[in-house]
Amino acid sequence: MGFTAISYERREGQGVITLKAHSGQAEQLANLYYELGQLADEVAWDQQLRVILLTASEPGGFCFGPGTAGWQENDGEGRWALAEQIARFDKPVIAVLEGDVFAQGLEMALACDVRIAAQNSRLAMPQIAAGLMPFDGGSQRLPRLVGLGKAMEMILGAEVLDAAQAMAIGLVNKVVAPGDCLRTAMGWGQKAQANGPLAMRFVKEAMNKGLDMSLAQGLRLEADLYFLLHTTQDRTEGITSFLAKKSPEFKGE
Amino acid sequence: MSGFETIIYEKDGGVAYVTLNRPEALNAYNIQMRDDLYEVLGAVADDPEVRVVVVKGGGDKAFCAGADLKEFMSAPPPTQARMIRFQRDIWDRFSNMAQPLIAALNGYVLGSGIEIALFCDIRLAATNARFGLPEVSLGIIPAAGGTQTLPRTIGAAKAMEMLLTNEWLDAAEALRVGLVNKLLEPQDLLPAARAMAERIASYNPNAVRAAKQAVRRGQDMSLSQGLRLEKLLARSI
Repeated sequence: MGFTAISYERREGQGVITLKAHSGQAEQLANLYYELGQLADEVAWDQQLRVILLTASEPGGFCFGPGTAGWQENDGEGRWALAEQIARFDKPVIAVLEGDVFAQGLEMALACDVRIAAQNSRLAMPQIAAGLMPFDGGSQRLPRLVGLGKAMEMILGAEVLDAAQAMAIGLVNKVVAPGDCLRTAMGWGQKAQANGPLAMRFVKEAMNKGLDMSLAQGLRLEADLYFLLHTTQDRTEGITSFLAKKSPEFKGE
Repeated sequence: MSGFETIIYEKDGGVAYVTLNRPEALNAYNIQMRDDLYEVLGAVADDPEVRVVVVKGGGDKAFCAGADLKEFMSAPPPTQARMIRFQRDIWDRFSNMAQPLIAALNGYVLGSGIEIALFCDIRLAATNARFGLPEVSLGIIPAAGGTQTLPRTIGAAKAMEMLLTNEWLDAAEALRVGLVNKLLEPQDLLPAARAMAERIASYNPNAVRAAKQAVRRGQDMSLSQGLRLEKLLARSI
């Protein structure tokens, strides 16, 4: 596909996006922004894909932005909404986090659906230390995930959390040995292969969009997506296979 | 109220006990149970004597092991099924119950079982309880409110993890993530549910209903709207 800021491959049926190393320069982030957007549109058509993994080519690949070492403001030119591009993926996204996960890197991880972190990783939202605030969703996604109290501590106090602390507040789903994050994430992706691909997309939509509505409205969204699945072959395949105690073969139709 | 095929309804003072009663099928939720529950919930809502409802599963093995899939293949066409969904809107009845609901959860709590439990206000679980949501592995999604109530209870990330990996939570993990309020030994589960229900039933019922409404409705509003609702409800007691 001719990407320069990312690489993308299908591995064991899973979509693996790898962020290539960058020094946070505006031009590199611009490429990353456009390439993530293009990829989001393309993989939406991959009906068989159940799950996407977002990883970095080296530990610390999710450590960049205001408040991180070596960051330089570019008169606002460097402000690319990378997390918003991640949020466009319609399949569930697993963030694979090795090393430090700071600032805009953490904002990208927050736009993923679940997060797996290495034991020696640290997580922080330190933009305040550079006299700024999160600009890529951090002030919205962090409190919705970990609650206001902990979010304030991180955003106002530039607190750095270790992996265990992050796990305790729900910021990450799982902590594993350094170097094991991708393997663990692919293990989850393997389990997801047993699921219907359309069901996976619709369940993500029902949950994420539903949380922005009243409960009554969310229940209607759920019902609409559920009955849409009634029209699919995958539903028939899933239920008849279960009753016949066989493994289903989902086609994404 | 008696004579339901799949539910046992009992009243003891101000507490109503609703038992999902298909132990031979691990209390699997089917059309008959939907209809029986719909009637029971409607009657409870209209009964000023009932101050608290306890929902439990018949038998030792399960609270409810999910929906009865055998009925799924003979479902009416989607447009009709959707119409029925909203004509007999049982989840709306659950959502709008004025009285608090306590779920007593033992054994298998799967699929619709978790979803019924999530419409309750307080969840007590036995140490042998196991929780799972297998819908996506069947090519469907939870349709008894689970996509809405689960993330609102344990957060979107943990909810997505459960659905993605199809992993069942044991009771300890359910407690850790906030899916249940308390763990009890199996033999202590019902006594604890009863004791909690009787304690709540002893409080001013207007205050109990107003408090529940303030919390539930307030979750759907901005903070300033919620604070205004709270003031109005507090004055109404």
